[in-house]
Amino acid sequence: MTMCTVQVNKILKDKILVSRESAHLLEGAMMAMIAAARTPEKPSGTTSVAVDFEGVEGIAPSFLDELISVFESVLGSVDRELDRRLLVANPPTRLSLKFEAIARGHGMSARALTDGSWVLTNKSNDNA
Amino acid sequence: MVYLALASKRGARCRLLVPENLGVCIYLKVVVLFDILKGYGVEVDDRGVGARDDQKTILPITHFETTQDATAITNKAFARLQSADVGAADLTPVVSELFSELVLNAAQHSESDVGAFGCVQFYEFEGGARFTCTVADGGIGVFESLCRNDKLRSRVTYDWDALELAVRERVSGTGDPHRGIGLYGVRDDVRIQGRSLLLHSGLGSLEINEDLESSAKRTRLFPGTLAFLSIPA
Repeated sequence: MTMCTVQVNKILKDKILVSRESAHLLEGAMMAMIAAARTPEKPSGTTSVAVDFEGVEGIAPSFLDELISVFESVLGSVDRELDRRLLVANPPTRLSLKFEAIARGHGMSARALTDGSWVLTNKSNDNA
Repeated sequence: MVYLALASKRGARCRLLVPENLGVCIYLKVVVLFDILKGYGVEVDDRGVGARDDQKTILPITHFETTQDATAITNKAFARLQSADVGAADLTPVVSELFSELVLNAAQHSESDVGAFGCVQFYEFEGGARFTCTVADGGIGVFESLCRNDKLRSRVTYDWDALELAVRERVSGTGDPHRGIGLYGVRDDVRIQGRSLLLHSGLGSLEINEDLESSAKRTRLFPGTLAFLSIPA
């Protein structure tokens, strides 16, 4: 499995992440990390991206929704057949119904891990 | 305030009759109501009350229009909540997140000629301390916004049933299948004890409490949309 981490607070300085536009500012970092991680020596399988929210104090649903869209877009541009796994590390808030609803809207399921992180996976990779 | 801003913007000569009660007058000064209305050309006799600061006013009435503005005032409110050191500390991000959804909705959907206004306060009521978030605009209202989506037009007849529909999952005037989580999310977060959300748009109002019991009804006209969120501190 390919794994890479994007540190949100190195790119976005706001404590509360609100707009869809700000989620797009993570696109370049996601794209660069996935491209760097996926080399001929590391064949593709499930591509997992970790987005680390350490230092962020809150996220609005619109931001998360757009973040998933960016994630899908970045992976889609690499390989449309990939299983996808988005790890939200150090989330500033609990995994509530609204965030689960956002994942569902993208054909993904969301669950909280014991360390508080959230993992969002597409249906075919639900038990990853 | 929204009435006056709209009327003044449309060329009417407006004057605010300031209450005689000095305490009320000072409060309105503290939340910057007078200054905002003066900015719209409304005549205001503030009786010479000088600028004051008040710990209870986390974010005085603040004008915004764009999503960038919405981000800015949300983060301003967050910073002030942190420095005010009032209420439970773990509520600071909660209040900020919920406020962000309300301001984002206004910025994205209101189409208001006068923009929108947001305010966050901390109050010690008889029943306990509370944070309140208020967001108001002078725009098209929830009914008109939902009617922009052809699939929803037949499902709404009145302002009050538009409000009931607007708080459900993935209901949005944009028609975008990924939109329509904001108010649904606020409604979900109101399920915690003692919280409440009041929406007022056009002739309709909707109040939701911790039990998710909602009461939609016809009420007095509001020329846009107002959201009022109350959270025990």
